[in-house]
Amino acid sequence: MTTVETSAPPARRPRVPPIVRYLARRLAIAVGLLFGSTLIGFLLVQAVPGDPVAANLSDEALGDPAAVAAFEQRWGLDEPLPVQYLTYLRNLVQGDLGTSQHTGRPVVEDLLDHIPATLEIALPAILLSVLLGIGIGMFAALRHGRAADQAVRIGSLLGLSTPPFWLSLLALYLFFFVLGLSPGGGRLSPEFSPPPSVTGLYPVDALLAGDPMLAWDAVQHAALPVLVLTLVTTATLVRFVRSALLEVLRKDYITAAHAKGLPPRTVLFRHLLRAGLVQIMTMAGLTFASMLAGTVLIESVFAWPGLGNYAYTSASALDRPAILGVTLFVAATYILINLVVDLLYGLADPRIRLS
Amino acid sequence: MTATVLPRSGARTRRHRVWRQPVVVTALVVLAAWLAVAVLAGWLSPYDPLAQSADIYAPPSAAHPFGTDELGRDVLSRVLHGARLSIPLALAIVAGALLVGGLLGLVAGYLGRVADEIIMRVTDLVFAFPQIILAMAVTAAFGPSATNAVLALVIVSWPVYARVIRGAVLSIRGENYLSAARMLGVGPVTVLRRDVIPNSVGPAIVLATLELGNAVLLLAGLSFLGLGPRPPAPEWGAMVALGSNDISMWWVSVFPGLAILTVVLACNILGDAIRDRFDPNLVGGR
Amino acid sequence: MSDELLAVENLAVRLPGPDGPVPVLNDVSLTVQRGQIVGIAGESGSGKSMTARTLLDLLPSGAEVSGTLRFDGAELDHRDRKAMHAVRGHGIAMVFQDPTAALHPMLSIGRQLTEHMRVHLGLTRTQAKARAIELLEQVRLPDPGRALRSYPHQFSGGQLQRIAIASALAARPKLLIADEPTTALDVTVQAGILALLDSLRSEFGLSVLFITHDLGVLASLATHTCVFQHGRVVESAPTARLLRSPGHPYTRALLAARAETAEVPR
Repeated sequence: MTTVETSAPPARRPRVPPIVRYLARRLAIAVGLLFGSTLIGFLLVQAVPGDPVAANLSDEALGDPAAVAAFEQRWGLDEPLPVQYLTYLRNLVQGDLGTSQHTGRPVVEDLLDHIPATLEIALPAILLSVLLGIGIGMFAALRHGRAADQAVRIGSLLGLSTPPFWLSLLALYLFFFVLGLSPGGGRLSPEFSPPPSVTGLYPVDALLAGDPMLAWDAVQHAALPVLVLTLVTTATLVRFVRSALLEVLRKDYITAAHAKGLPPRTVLFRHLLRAGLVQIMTMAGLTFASMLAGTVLIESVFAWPGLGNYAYTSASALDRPAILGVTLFVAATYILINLVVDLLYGLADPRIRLS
Repeated sequence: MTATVLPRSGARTRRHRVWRQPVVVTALVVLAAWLAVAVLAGWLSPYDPLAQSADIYAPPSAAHPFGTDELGRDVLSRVLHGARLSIPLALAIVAGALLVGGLLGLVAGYLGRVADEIIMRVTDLVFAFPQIILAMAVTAAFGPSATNAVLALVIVSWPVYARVIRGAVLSIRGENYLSAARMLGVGPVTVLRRDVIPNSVGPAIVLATLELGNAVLLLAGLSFLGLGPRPPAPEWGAMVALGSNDISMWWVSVFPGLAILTVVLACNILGDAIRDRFDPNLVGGR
Repeated sequence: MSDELLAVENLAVRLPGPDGPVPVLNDVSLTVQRGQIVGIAGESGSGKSMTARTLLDLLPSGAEVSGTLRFDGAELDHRDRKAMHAVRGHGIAMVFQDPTAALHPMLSIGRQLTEHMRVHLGLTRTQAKARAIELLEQVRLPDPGRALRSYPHQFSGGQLQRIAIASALAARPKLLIADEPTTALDVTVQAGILALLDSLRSEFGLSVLFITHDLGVLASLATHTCVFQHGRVVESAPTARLLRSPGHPYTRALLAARAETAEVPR
């Protein structure tokens, strides 16, 4: 990668390729946002009314003067606020998000333990949602104003209006309790033990270990949470794809492509979708990040030991360091996904790449 | 000469008749009904929503149309009283976010420069957090209660209003009558009152309708996490959570969930219709 | 009349509106001879562009069409979508008003010039590329080889309109519909595009249906001109005669408006 020379004298400024300038600007924005989100995190941990020690230590630790002193020293609590923030930042950079009150372990370790389970349902769900979102959204856009479009519109509003935690309970009741099609909560049935960890995703690891039965059991367990996540996310994406494509459909260049006598399918996929795809992928990236947040509302129902469940138990126990850890992690993921999408955007759009 | 007239395809767009669409009318009726329930809950409920009884986990029957929960409380009465809780709280969230976001948007749009830059960077920052997660963190930090849940949801939802109101103010500035007014020696407060605020009301109302459903849904989510109004308050999200203790007792969670769904869906359909009617370009929410 | 390329007779179009169908074209008839440039003049909303869109079946869904179309010696049934679409690009091609909007911003010029060539003419990739270069030379675009690898935002409006014309000609159409092709361009660039169209006609025998709101543009270009008002042809005559002694009051009004703007020094 080329480096940007910021210190060059203005007289003979080196010609920085536009793409590099674009990437540098995006990177700066992302760093700014990351920095800002730590400030919010800090305000929520340290500057909250009340005693930060009581708010951040477990009951046993509070009874131990040594533990209290260690905590105060670690976060620099006797220092003025700006210094405390610097201490907080330094700890953060070293990967220290504090210690969970209810697990008694460093929050970072807890997070790392819970991420693979969440990815195991979030990755298939985002993939399915993007495919369904593009398919259904395109279908509706091409039938703009007709009955099918109306149906899609109402359907997607229904998806947006359904509380995900309620839908999870309903799905579990129907597929597990009534129909017996789902093996119920958890990642695996009790008779199985987790495969040796390679990717952290059970179905993949099970296949790598040559155990198809185990993989199948893992897939069955993941099916319902994936279904719920997919339904909720697809609704958002359908609406976005529909309006993005309607916008493109009004453009002269789509009319021009038809007037050139191209087969409708070519116009649809090469011209229409090509123009909308960048925006759609941006939206898919953002949706993925909010899906990570959305797992808070569903994983507990399925006893799925992911990030969302961790956040849920932390919330129920009012475990502040843990909640803030999850919050910062999700925000950072959101910002990073945004950055990656922006970078891809720059590469995909010739108006940004060249010019 | 071929005189035959052949329509190419059946239906046509009916944007202009939004208010006559049966779906929109139904949504209006549903919303009005819920408002009535919120007002009349005490009168409509067959039981005290907090009264426990020995009749626990009774399935729906004539005596308890929605069944009873694990403490023998009547689910119907609790769902009806839930409207009295959720709807005013959601309105408070929207009003609070509108006030905070509206003011900041006015300031950003009207003053421009540094104020605008700072306010817009802060909205970017809040947008970087998924709403439910940030709301969760804020409520956890301040302690769970109905007031703190409302506060948290105002904190996570004001940026949308700020952006839209700022946009509305900027579009007026673009029309040059702010500078004209200034040249005529009209004070900023008068300009705000006479021109800026009236012109921002339209977008604000559209957005508020769109966001009302979102507020109900987020509030229910926080309650589901145990961060809403304290038990035994009959909050819909908390009631759904009770159903997860024993999923075979489906009625415990199904009815409060349906209450959330119908209110939110009605708000969303109305918001969508209003957006279509007034401002097809307004992108509300996220 | 074996020289006739396009004949439109009694064309009527109605578009769906909030309170039932709205007539946008009434009883429109016109003909274009091979190798002839025919002008269509009128204000915006007079039905000029609607006529062009009807010929290419580009009307919004729900449009009601009646009348007869004859193209290249055969009856063209406007209800037969397949037949209508077979004419697109290969029989009739179109150049749009705003060249910056009519080219896909994210596809290379090469792609946009060759894709329909390959569909209609069955050319290989290399053959299509060679023809694209040839076409860009015909529309007098400098450095055609480089242009093929470039994207629309890298060109000026006038250059883009030349590219759009090249693209319209790519599949060897018999008729080119030019819908206000110079309106969005600078005055100095306009003349170049007009000269280009005229030379394409004289060199390759191209027929052009030239749509404009500016009667004066047609003076040196079109042999025959139809004047549109409120979806009807109010006057149709050889251009020279029409300009010398306009028969319809609306034509006179258009000419008067033109004279007024022309008095402003350039």
